Amino acid sequence: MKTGNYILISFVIILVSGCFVKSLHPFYKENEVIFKKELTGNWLGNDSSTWKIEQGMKSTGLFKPDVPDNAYLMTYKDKKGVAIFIVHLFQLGSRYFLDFYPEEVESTNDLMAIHLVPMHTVARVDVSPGKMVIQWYNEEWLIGLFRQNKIRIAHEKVPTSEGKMEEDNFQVVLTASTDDLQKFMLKYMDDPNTFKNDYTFVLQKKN
Amino acid sequence: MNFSILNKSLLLRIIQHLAFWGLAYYILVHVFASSSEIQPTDQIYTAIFLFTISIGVYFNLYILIPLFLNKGKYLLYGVSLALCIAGSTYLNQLTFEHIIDYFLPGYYFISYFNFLDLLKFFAAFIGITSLVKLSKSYFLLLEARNQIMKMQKEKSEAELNALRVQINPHFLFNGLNSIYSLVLKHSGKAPETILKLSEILRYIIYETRKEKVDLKKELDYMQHYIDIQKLRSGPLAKIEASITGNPVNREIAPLLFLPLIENSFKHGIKGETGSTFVVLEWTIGEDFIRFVTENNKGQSEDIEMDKRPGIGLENLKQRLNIIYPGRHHFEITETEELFRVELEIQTTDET
Repeated sequence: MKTGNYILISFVIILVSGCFVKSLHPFYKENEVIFKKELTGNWLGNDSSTWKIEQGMKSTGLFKPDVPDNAYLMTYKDKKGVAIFIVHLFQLGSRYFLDFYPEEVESTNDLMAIHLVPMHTVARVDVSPGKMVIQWYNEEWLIGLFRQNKIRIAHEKVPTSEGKMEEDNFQVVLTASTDDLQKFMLKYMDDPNTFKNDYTFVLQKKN
Repeated sequence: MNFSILNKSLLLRIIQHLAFWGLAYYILVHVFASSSEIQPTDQIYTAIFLFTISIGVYFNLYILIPLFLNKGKYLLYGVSLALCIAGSTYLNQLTFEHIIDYFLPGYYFISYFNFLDLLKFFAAFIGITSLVKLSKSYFLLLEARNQIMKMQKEKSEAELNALRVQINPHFLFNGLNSIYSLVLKHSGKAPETILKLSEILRYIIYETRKEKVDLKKELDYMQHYIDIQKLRSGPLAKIEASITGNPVNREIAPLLFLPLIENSFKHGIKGETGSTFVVLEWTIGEDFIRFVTENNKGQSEDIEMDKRPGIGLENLKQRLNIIYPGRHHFEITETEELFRVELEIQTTDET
């Protein structure tokens, strides 16, 4: 991950502080990655954010990220700032998913940046002509299961963004292998809780 | 085996099995921990995981091994064991992929290992438990074999004792007959003969209970017996006894020669004729002891009168078969006038 002059933006705060299911390992395997041209372009979010999605390519400049050509370089911008992600599209069962991995997170300084560990998040994606719906995996539901001791998948409990680490107040970082992550997603894909959260983005393609 | 012993054995077996599964659970729950702390879901997962393994383990131990392995059907056992391992592995996968959702609704489990990894787990468990079972069976087999050997030895000893007990009255009967002849003749040698007879009897009763006796001593007492028979036989009978070789520090099973000597005198020395003879020859080699008896055959009427097979010779044959199986030669040669017996014993293993 490259570091630079960073500013914390709302989307990144969300990724770091909670609400999205975070994993040390990617949710996809290289041989499962697919590329759909229709995802590329400029998109407008329902919260007035803009999403610029480009096909990945080998770096051509000093500050350009190196992204595989079967992946996407996504630049998210809202009124609070900019975040750049490497995004992989893959299919599990009959559904399409996007794996988000921060390419560049702007922070206040370098020392802050080296303390940030990049993690993967996963979202379900539905693409139709001119429209794309992105729904992130429901962390609230997942943490609820961990609190109730009703789920078994390799993980570690970490403090919340407020630094709290209590019996019923914590965050979870999944440490399971990609195989296990996919098995879990596949088995419980039809569970209505898995993608039921407030972090659903409805994007319209800009002309 | 009475009821309490059966109960104790069953209880011990149950405790052993519980200890084995308890240890396996303790190890696996740490191996399977999904985070730095063992979660209740890890405990549930481990217990169910072991349950699916136990199905394969007990199917192998109580069905496949008795049905195929114990009956020597090795190929069938190998194939069925492989199927058992693969089947129980598949059951484990199926359990965590589907079955568990019916038994534990609201819980979220997946099958965390691929089939090949699971197969290794199951093969290891079923293999180890098979080896434990087989090693236990091996020790039981050794124990049973030792028990059988012990019983066979006890049986042989009992047979030998029974045969030895037969010698006493047989010898006594012949000895008393000799003394009776002396008394009839009003011989003054009767008291001396009674003393010698009692000495031989004491030797037979008290000193021949051991498996092996000193050869020199045995031959000395045989000489006493020959002396008694000489007294009874009269001056015209030709009686010769000779020893070639050194009997000192040699051992032999007791009372092997006595029945042959008895037999020679019984059939050879008949009446007061000069044609009667008994020749007894011992040859002692480095690894053998040979004893040959030759005697004339009794008058035809005597033989006719005694058609009963010699108890002493039959007794001797049985004892030789027990004590020196495959290590002795016993041959009876009979002509119209001569009765010859040759006994040779290989003493290679004797100390």
